[in-house]
Amino acid sequence: MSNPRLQLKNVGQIQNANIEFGDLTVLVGPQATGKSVFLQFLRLLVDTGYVIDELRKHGLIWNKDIRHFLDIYLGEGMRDVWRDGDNGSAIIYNNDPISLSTVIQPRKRSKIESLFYIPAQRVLTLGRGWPRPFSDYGASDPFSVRDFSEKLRLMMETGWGGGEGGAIFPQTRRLKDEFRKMLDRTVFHGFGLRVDTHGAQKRLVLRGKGMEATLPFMVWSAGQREFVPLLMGFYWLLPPTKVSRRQEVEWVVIEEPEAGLHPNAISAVLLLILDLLARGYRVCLSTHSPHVLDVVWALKVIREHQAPSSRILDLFDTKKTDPMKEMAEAVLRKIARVFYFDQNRGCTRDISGLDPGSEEASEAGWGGLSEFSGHVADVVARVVNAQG
Amino acid sequence: MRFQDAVANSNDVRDCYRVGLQALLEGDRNRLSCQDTRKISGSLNLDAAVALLYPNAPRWDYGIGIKKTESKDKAIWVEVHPADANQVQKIIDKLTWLKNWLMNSAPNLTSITGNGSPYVWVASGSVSFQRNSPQTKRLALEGIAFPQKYYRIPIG
Repeated sequence: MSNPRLQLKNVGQIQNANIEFGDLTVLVGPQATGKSVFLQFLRLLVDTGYVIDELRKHGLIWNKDIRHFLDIYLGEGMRDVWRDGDNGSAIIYNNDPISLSTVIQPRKRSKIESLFYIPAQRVLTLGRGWPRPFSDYGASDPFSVRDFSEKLRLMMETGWGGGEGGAIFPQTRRLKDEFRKMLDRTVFHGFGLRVDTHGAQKRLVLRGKGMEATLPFMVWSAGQREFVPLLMGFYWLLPPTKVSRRQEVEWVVIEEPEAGLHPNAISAVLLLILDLLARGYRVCLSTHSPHVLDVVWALKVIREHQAPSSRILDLFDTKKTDPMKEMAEAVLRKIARVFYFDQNRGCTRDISGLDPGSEEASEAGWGGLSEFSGHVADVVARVVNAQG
Repeated sequence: MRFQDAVANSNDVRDCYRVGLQALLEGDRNRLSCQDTRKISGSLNLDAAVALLYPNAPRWDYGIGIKKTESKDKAIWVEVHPADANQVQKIIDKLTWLKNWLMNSAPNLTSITGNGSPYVWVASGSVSFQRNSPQTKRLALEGIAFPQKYYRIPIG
């Protein structure tokens, strides 16, 4: 079976973005080059029935007007990403031209969600330390944020999150033991995440071992505030039962998984992402972190050199327990692809080779993520040679 | 001073000057290019030239002369070597040897060695470490830029 492919032409800053997805697909490129718009269009095409139904269920109407729809779906002011005329916008999905005006019409379609989307603005979903409902946002806020927030709210309010004594993290039945240790070491530092009641209001708090006082959302570190919604997303995708994954979900999109995190915490998140891959999810990331590409590059080299899968675990300095070895073995079979969104040309470039010695600057510099470090090193070398 | 004269004035390598890039082994020569080959005044296979004198030393591969004016050249020093992270120390050892050799045995070549990026590591295969790696920073502190698969000899 061929890989899914999406091409967008003349949509916002994108002139021609053409991407064939791998098991793991990573999008890199400067700010505002269309990565997020691209991923949201992917979602719309994969989950048309779900998206349209959710918008209508919450009373949003667009009267078959594409621009009005885009203001609702992508967020206020985004209507102009779609253009008409000779150089008009176009969508080609799996080699078939798609009419957006048809997509946005209410029709009988499957409403099952097969793409789980974790937006970059996820920290906004826990405004007062508890997930905000869909209707708490303005009609002009992006659907991806509202929908993710609503999912978290439903999960929390149906008692999903609460382990023993309201504990959310750590929970013995949630995540592999090695993951829990790594997250404790890199994000929570001995504090537990739990549900607390303040007055009549439920809220998420952190509590240290043996401590009476709890820490509300606003006093958490920036990284912890960023990470908790991401953790909830992982919980949703990694069920605590013998079932290894949500069967109805094929795709997982995570925007900027590194947001606000120290590199050690990014490593922990990447290990969780590898677990998603091992469980058979097709994962798409957008990133500004060279750390993410470090791992993708290492996976490629490990595969090309036919090295043992345990080398993947060496990347993270984790114990080689049986579950971790199984995960690494599954990850080794996965194919990763990396695409660069070129700001100047408005097109995408396949830089999956990630060859630091490539003559193609965007590949050698990993889409700009390691370019600056290389440039700094070159200047330092010249200074050393000139000054002795 | 011309590169040819600087080589001739260096006892260890006095007969080893070659026109153009002829001193380079063919496989290595193919990894280098130049927009205007007339600007290349000559080359030296340093590694081969001093192999008997310093058999166990971490010898550097090549010197290349580039015309700056009609009477003046500058020298760059090229090492063609596998570009793995675990080779960085070897390259640094080679550079240390080269600098010592230039200072002690080839002062004329020292005098025409440029002070921009005269020490060049050309990868003999793929490059297996990154531009943002600590190894790259170590190299930079020694005055060596990130290895390249193909090196365009700077002229002018």
